[in-house]
Amino acid sequence: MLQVKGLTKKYNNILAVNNVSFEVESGEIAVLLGPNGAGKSTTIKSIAGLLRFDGQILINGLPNKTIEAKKVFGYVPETAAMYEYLTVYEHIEFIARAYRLDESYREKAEYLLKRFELYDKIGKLGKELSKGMQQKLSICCALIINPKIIMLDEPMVGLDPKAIKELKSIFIDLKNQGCAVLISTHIIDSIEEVWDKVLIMNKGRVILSRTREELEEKAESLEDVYFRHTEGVSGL
Amino acid sequence: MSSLFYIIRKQFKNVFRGLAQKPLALIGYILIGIMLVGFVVIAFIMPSGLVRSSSSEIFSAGITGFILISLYLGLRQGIEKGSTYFRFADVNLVFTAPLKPSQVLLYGFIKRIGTSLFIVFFTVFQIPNIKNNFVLADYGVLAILTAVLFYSVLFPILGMVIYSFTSHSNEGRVLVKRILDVTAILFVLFFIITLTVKRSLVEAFVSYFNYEVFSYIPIAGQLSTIASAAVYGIDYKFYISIAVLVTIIGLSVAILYNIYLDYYEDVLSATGELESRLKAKRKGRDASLEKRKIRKVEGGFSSYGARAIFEKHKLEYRKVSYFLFFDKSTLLVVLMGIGFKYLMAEGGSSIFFTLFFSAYMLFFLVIQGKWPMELEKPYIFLIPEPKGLKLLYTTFTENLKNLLDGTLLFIIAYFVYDTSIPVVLLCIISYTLYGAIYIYGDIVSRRLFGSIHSRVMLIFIKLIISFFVVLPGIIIMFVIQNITGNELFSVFSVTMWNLFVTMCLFLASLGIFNNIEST
Repeated sequence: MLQVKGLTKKYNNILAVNNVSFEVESGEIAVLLGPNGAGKSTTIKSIAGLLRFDGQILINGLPNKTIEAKKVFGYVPETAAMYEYLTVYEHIEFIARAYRLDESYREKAEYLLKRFELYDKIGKLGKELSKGMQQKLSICCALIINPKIIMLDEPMVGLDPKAIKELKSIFIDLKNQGCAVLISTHIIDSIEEVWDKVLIMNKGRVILSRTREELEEKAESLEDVYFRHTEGVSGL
Repeated sequence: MSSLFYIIRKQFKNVFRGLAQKPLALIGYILIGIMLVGFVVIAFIMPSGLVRSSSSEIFSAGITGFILISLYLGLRQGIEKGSTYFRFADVNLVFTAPLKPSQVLLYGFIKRIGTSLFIVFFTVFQIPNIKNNFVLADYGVLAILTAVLFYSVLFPILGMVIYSFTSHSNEGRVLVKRILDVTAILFVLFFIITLTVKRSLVEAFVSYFNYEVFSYIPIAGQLSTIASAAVYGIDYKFYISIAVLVTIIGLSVAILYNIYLDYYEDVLSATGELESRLKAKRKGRDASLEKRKIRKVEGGFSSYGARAIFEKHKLEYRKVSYFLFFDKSTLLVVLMGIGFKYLMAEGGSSIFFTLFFSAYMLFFLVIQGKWPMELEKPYIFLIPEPKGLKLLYTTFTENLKNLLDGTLLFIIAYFVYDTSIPVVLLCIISYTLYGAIYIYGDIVSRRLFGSIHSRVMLIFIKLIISFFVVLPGIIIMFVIQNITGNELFSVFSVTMWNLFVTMCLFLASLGIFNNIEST
């Protein structure tokens, strides 16, 4: 379970995230939705422990920057950054070793690489991969650690239709396995079928938090709600 | 055309505006500016030949050799990839705008002259060094700076012209490359003949590159004549060479401007090359690494946790280095470290000359090390391991490489200098510790000044910090050397100081992988 309490992040004097609080339960897919510059990536990076911030972030009840917390969350950055001189398989091997996984990771690696059509490219170097392939590998690296919580920053960008389909199906698998999934995106269509909870962000604040059931009860579409709230009408 | 001038003007203005918003960087640049002005003044007023008065023939031979090699490499690269005055932003925005290609070329040319003036300005740093070793004639400094200016303006335009003519026919390209290669081989053969006659490398070099014939080679001959006027004095040949080079530049521009205007495609490859070189530079990487051939390596990881980071680096090194961690930088350190002995005025009687010179060189090699590449990826921050172990293993490869390079260097030094094995051992340890000081000093600088304006500025800060951190050790060493006259005690004292400083810097570096904002 992920708990974010009063998260505030300033870059110099610019308030990027302003007192944001939310929770993502185990087995829940939450989506951070918002226009460019809303603070989604900053929020995700703060949760991943990459930024300094004010407030509290708990991963399964532990502060996010502790070693124990880091062991259980996976992170897929907005721009995949792979090691130029490691092959596809060496990336997986490196992450598995660094996270002290047992040898069973090899089976899972094979499964993931096949699913993302990277298995025939396991000998390719990071710098030889296209952007889309790097993104797929970045996702595999996050999934190989068997995360209890996974955060994905604009994960669909650069993926081909087959990979997008696989990724959506993986979201459902993770949910069924009890993993908390947090996805940041500004493309509503990309997550329409999978989300359980939506957190709409604008100007550094969560301006709306709704579950799928709540929207369905009111017979509202995610797109309508999104535009109504990001274009100035108060919603909370 | 006014829109192109607008870009130049605005970019120039925005650099200064950006600086004004970062007072710390501004102070740094002001300091660099004061130093540069100081160097300009020193370059012009200091007497030459202070340390020694090497012959003018050595100077002109060195210059001619350097220019000939540069011309060969420049033309060869020009045939392969072309050359460029442009950046990707120009390609995307200016090339696609409804502007005449001739105007765009002129815009690129003006930008290049700006860059060239910048290069000339930085050459001033080397003038005192030249003046220490050679007796310069009147206006010698101006002659050197003029040569540098022509050199940096000419080479890109030559690259563009040669690429424009050769890129459309593979046969043509191969033919021009072969002509170049055959010419180069002939030059080398004639040098070997001179060497067999003279039976001394230095004598052969001086005599060969002072042959009159070289001054008639287009471009190289004129550049060499202009630069050599620094020691021989300015005469009519100097002015004729300038006139010839100006004509060549004019002709080249005219060719591109009037005859061959479809050059956009021809500069694309070189622009891509330039962008990746600049990107590597900004990130503190060795740009040549990007082009290195990658070897296939079997088997990699056997450890868990933070040690896997070290194994990853080891694996990456195995793919690009010659053997173990030995690569181009090892050769450079060994050749220059040992070569320095022979360049010293008094024959470099002590192994300390090699230790300090190689330690100085190491600074520039360490700032291009592998570990900063970790900061570009999120993994190092995410790996669930203690911060001390992460730091240790992330920098372990660099330290190990320095140890191995140092071992090779000082084993050779043992045979070159009259010294003992314990002194050599301590020199190896001290050299490795200098490397560690630069690595952890780099980390501390990044933590303190990470968000600073530019990489040049950051290197400058690191250089200053490293200088003040290692200086006490050197002072202590010289004091002990003067009191006891014992090499072993002296090198032991500097090693102890380096160990102490390394430990302090390591502790100060501990939080670097806590988050991306620590750098």
